[in-house]
Amino acid sequence: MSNLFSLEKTWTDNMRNVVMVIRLPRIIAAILTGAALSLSGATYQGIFRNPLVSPDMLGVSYGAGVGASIAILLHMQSWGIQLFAFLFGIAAVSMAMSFPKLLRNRSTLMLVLSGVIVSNFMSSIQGLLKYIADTDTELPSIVYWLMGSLASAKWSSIVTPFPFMLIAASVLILLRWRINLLSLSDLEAVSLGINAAKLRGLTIVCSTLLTASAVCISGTIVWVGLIIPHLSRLLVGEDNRCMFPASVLLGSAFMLTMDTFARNISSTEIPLSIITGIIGAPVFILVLFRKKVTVS
Amino acid sequence: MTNPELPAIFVQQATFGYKKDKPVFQDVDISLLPGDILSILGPNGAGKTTLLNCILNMFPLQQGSIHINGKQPREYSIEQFALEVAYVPQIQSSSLQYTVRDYVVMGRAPHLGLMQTPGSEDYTKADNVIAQMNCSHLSSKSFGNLSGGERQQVQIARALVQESKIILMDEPTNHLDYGNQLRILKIIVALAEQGYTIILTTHMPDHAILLDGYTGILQPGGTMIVGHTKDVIREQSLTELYDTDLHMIYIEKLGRSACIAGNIR
Repeated sequence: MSNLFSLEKTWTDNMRNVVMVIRLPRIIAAILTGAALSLSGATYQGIFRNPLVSPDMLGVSYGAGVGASIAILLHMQSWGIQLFAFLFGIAAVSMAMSFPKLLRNRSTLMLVLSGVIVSNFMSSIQGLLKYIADTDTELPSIVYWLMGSLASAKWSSIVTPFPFMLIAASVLILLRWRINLLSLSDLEAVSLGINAAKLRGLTIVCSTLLTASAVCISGTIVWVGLIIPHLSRLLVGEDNRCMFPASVLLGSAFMLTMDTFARNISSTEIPLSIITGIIGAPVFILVLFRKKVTVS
Repeated sequence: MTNPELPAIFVQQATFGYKKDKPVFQDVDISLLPGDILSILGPNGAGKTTLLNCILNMFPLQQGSIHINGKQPREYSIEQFALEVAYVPQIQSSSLQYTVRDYVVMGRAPHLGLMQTPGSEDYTKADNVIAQMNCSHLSSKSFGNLSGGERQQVQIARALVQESKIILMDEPTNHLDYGNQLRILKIIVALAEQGYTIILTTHMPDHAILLDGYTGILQPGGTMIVGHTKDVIREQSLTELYDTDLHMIYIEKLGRSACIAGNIR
């Protein structure tokens, strides 16, 4: 990190390479994925009126896992794995969103239910793919991908998802006050002149783009999208006008810290998802305890 | 702006059912001028809320028509419609943690663009309405921590800040203690005197009597008798409606009738 700030010409080419080719893309990847997962988690929690919702709610991570596994089984390059993860993640959410339409029941509960169905379906497919994978080469790659890591983050793996993330995040940030109104009942939202179904659809699309982009950079990373919005809410309150920016900042800081731990805590790198789980859970409990929060 | 001759709400021969041949209500006629109050009475499940939702343009009618200030609901966009009609839901048991000020300012939504957030002008309007409802002391409290009566006042404040001259209220006195029920009724009368047109649903015939104005009795078969409260609320019609022994008794001290239940022992 301190290398970023020393601007006198005191470095060797080798040092420059370490910073510019290995460390810097990884730092940026950590910041981007942390921000993306937190913001989409914050959005989901708002529109589903449920603080236990994570960005996985509609199956995006499970779909992405299946996509990545297929790409690994087909021995594709890393960009292929990225592309497949991204597309399958979006496909899973599209499936989850189409069921309520087909059944002509556009309630939130129906959407949550079809999210559960799609997630379980995808995780069964995931199991099947793991089962048929070659245990020496393919299976370890799949498992490692699923545990999430930023170790392979390169400029090339960030550049493509970045525009999607930027657009989706900007839309969500600009709509953040309107998204507040979705925490009311649909009838109230409509009586306030809000097309609740449309607005919810748009925010789900944006959050899905964010999560799918993050997942295709880093693999599946748990916890961040669930706890960071909570921490932000404890700090700045429920209003998305403050909560969304707070989630973005806190999420990127958290992910950067966790990734630094993952890199340095032992001689071999520990998968990021394990670190976020092991460190995240106690931190969360501590915060709940210190703040004496009443979760109703 | 409002033409005093033009009905604010004009409902003609309205019929609606969730299933085709099972109407929830049929041939309902309502005509209200600015400043009128209509109390809708009816037993549980008679379709009072459904009727309100139809007027709110949530469900399309099967037959008949609704005109809001001379235009049919579908001629308005969602935003425009919200500028004509505001809605006060039943008291929410929600744990929304927005402050009362932030909650009330949500009523400004139809006045704001898609990507706009409420500015100081919107907050001034919210503050004025909160003061008008005597809720200034609640301003920075969290909506989820308010009592039922306070919530209802704040919900009405949100409808007022919307600046729509028609307000629909779904059982505004439900879950309130006696004092708060009467407080809300007084607020409704005061709003009607300011020119708001109000339709509310209620389970209490006495509330309709206190509010005076018009009353609609939605019968289980789906027909609605509408007229001046004095003409519609009668001992026989109430007894039939609720299938209970009820009495209309004139109280000399107050100069009005009241609806009293017969003995149950």
